[in-house]
Formats: sequence, C-alpha cells, structure tokens
Amino acid sequence: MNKTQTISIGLFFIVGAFLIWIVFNALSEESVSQTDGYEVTAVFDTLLQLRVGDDVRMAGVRVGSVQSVALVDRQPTAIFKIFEEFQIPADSSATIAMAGLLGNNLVSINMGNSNTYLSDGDLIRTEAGFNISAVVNEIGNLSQNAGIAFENISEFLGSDADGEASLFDNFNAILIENKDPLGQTISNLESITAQMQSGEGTLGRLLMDDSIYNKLEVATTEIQNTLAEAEALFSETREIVAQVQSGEGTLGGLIYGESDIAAEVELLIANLQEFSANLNNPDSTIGRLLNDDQLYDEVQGLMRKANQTLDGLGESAPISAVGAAANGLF
Amino acid sequence: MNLLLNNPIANFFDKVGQHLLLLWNSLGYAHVIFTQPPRVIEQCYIMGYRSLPIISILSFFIGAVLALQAGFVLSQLSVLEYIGSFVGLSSARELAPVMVAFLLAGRVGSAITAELASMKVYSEIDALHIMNVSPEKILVMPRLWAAIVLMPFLSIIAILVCWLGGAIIAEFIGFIQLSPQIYWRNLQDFIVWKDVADGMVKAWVFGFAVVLIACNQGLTTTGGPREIGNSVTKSVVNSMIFILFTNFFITRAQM
Repeated sequence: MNKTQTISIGLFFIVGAFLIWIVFNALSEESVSQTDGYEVTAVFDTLLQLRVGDDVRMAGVRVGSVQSVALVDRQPTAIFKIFEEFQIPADSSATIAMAGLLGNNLVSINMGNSNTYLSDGDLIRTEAGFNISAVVNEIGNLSQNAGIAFENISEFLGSDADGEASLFDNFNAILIENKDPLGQTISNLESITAQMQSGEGTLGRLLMDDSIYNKLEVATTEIQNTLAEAEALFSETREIVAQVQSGEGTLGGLIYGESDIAAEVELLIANLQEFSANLNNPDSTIGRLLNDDQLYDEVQGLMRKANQTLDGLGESAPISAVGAAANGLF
Repeated sequence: MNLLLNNPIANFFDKVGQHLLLLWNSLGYAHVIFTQPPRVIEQCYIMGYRSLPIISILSFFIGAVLALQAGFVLSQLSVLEYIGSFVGLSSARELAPVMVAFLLAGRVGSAITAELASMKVYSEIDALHIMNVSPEKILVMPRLWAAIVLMPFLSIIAILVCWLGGAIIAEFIGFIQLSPQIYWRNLQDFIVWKDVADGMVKAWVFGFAVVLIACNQGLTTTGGPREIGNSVTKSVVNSMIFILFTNFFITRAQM
C-alpha cells in the first residue's frame, strides 16, 4: 500500500461523492421549493396532469413552480411557489397549459393590469385551459356523426335491408324500361350534333358560318357611327344654346340682348293694345258693330223676314212646277 | 443416496447455501473496515480506481449508441428533442448499472476468483485456518466492503458518462444535430432523482453479488491449477446469470 494508491482512492471518492451531489441537485424537485419565495393558491376545475415541480410561467417567463397539488374540499387545488423577485398583479388569472405533446403541463399566468400584487397565501383567479382529451372526445363524436351520415347516404343509394326500392334501384328500373327510346334519343342527338358540326341547318350555320358574325360586326359599326353623329349633334346643340345664352344671334338678342328688334316688338305690342282698346270702344264703328245689340237685333229681324219670304216661295214652287209641266204636256 | 445429493437441483441449493453461509460468516467480520482499513482501501483501489477507465469507455459508447438509435427513430417522428430523456432514462435505470456489473464480473470477479482459487489450491487458505485467521475476515469481507462503498461512485460515473456520450453524439451526428442545451434540458425535465437512485441501488446489489459469487467460487475450488481456470469461468458465468436474473425482479420492484 503506497501513497499513490491512497491519493487516487481519496480523489476517486471525493469526485464520486461530488458527482452524486450534483446529479441529486440537478434532478431533485426539492431544490426548487427550497428557494425563497411566496405561495399562491389556485383552485381549478381539473388539474389535468399537473405535477409537483412543473413550471409556473407568466408571459413565458418562469416565475415559479408547482409546490403541491391536492384535493381540498372536493376541489383540485394547486399551490405555486413564486420566486421572490417576481410580482403578480392581483387580477391575473392562471391556466393549465400544455408544454408538449407528451403530457407535460405548465401553469400559464395571464398578467393583469392591477397595481396591487398578490402576496403570500393569496388566491389567484383561474380559467379553464385547453384540454386535449376534450378535443379528442369532440373528434370522436364528430367521426361517429359522420359515420351515421354516411350510413344514411348509403342506405339512400343502395338497397335497403327491408328490400325497399332505393334511388339507384329506381334509376335502374327507369333505364331498363326506357332502354329503346333512350337509345333513339341518343342517336338522334348524335346525328344533330354531327350536322351542327358540319355546318348544316340554322344552328349549325350559326355555329360554323362566320358571315352572320361579319354582319353583326358591320351593324355594330353602324350603330357606333350613329352614336358618334348623335354625339356631334348634341355638342352642336349645346353650342347653340351656349351662344343664345351669351346673347349672340337674333334669338339670343331677343331673349338676352338689348337690340332694336326688342324695341320694335314692344312697339308692336303697344299698337296692338291700342287697337284692341279701340275695338272695345262703343263709339267707334267697329266697336258699335261689336258691342251694340241693336244692330244684331236688326240683322236678326232681317234674316227672319228673308226666311219667311223663302218659305212662301217654297210652298208655291211645286204648283208652279206642275203648271209648267202641264204647259209642256199640253 | 448419492443420486439424491448429486443432481443439478441439489447442486443449485448447495451453491445457494454456500453463498448464504459465506455471507453470514463474512458479515460477522463487518468491523474490519474499522480494524483493518488498509485492506479495504487496497481493494477499493484495485476494484474501483483501476476499473474506472474501462467503465468510462464502455459507458461512453453505450450512451453514444443509444443516442444514435434513438435519433434515427425519433428523427423520423420529428421529436428529436426527446433523445435526452430516452438516453438519460434507459442508461440511468438499466444500461449503466448492468454494464458496470458485467464489467465488474469480468474484470474484478475473475481476478478475485483466480486469486482465492490459487490460494486454496496451493493450501494458503489452509495455512490461514491453522493460524486461526479466518479467510472471511481478511479476504472476503474487505472485498465486500470495497464493493459496498464503491458501487454508487462507479455507477454515478457510468451514468454521467453515458449521458455525455449521448449528448456528444446527438450534437455531432449529421442527421441528429441536437444542441446540447435541448438535450440536457429534456433530460432534466424527464429524469428525477429517483431514476438515478434506482440505478445506483441496482448497481450496488449487483456489485455486492458479483464479489460474493467470486469469493465463494474461489474458496470452494478443489484440485489443481486446471481447476483454477474452471473456477474463473464459472464465477463469471454465474455472476452474469445472477445479474440478468435479479435485474428483472429489481426493476419490477422499483416500478
């Protein structure tokens, strides 16, 4: 037994013990709960797979860890150990979130806006988190419904267990019954399409002949020309109206301008007024003619007399006619 | 009567009885660690310190091949970051303790058997008896003490080197290329102290058993030099059978 051996054994033991201590510290959950911090209690509907030692994160920052999970008064309750240096606003809420697909959970705290902070032993609000098993259940229900739907469709399409005729059966019956007419129809359609393709008949020519298209094109061009002319007309009219408005020309002068014609027209109207005034005047000849009843009465009397004279003539006329005729005979 | 005492079943119970008897006699001298510490330290040196290089090399490549296999499968599933937990768990709980025990059986157990068997064959054990010095006291118990004390250290080193090998392979193999941070982070997330402690308990049981089997095989050797070789072979084979057999039940008990 020499000194080298003893030294190497001592070294070996110390290094080994140190390694055990390091691994124990790195893996042990106790190391987390031994750090300074304060406790916050959260009551959830379900803790899912939350384990002691899982992270508590606020806005993604690790602010603590789960210290214990338990059923307290029939309610799943978790106690978080929050590190001393972090403060959680009092109106924050905790959710159990998934850290990975393999069932790792973490507590995610949605930061509130409050200026007061949670302290040791306080209760934090909680929200129901995303539950993968609920989603899987939903998917299961959905696929079941889809299965039922497909079953219905296949029942509708295929023949029933009861032997009731289904859609396809009916179709089959129709097809078998009308086999000959259907065949004829199809062959007719074939010949029609063949004719159309070769440009026969009106439809065929419509499809195959481009003269109609050409005509249509010409017609369209003419319509376009006409429209252009109409536009020109409109623009001219607009020009004329503009000229009239600006007092140019006779009409313009008449309406807007102060030319001699307007004065003449005014004079004319004044003369006409004078003339009609004279007509109304009973002293003038025409006025008397128009306004005095005496003349009318005299004329009426005269007419009546003339009538009587003519009546007398009418009564004697046949006699004289007969006399004349008798004279002629005899 | 001869047949009754000389069939395989009777031989098996005979072996079990021998081991238990040897263990019982040796535990009676458990105080040697205080009365004769140099003997224990010497055995520690031979069994522990000298085994360290081979255990490190073996553990490194076990971790490496675990990472390689896991990486090949997990890369197809796009969950490469779980290499850490895969390598960490399988090496800490299973491969590191078993491999350390196998190495101990091959390297230390065979040496113990050879030494004790030659002492027995050349009547040194008889000389000890004549001097009223129990071979359990100066030959067996120091070795058992060395195994008891050493195994936790050997296994923790083996486990750590396994993890390191996995991390290095995961970082530098082309189709894996997992950063060490993710590897260690995942390993730390999934492995708890109990996993490592379970592995260490396993290694401790195996180491103790390997030394006991080797000592018993050496002390029960009869005949000449040829029997020494036979004893060594038996010692190693029996140790390995015991390790794998017991491993199953320990694992089951640790669940």
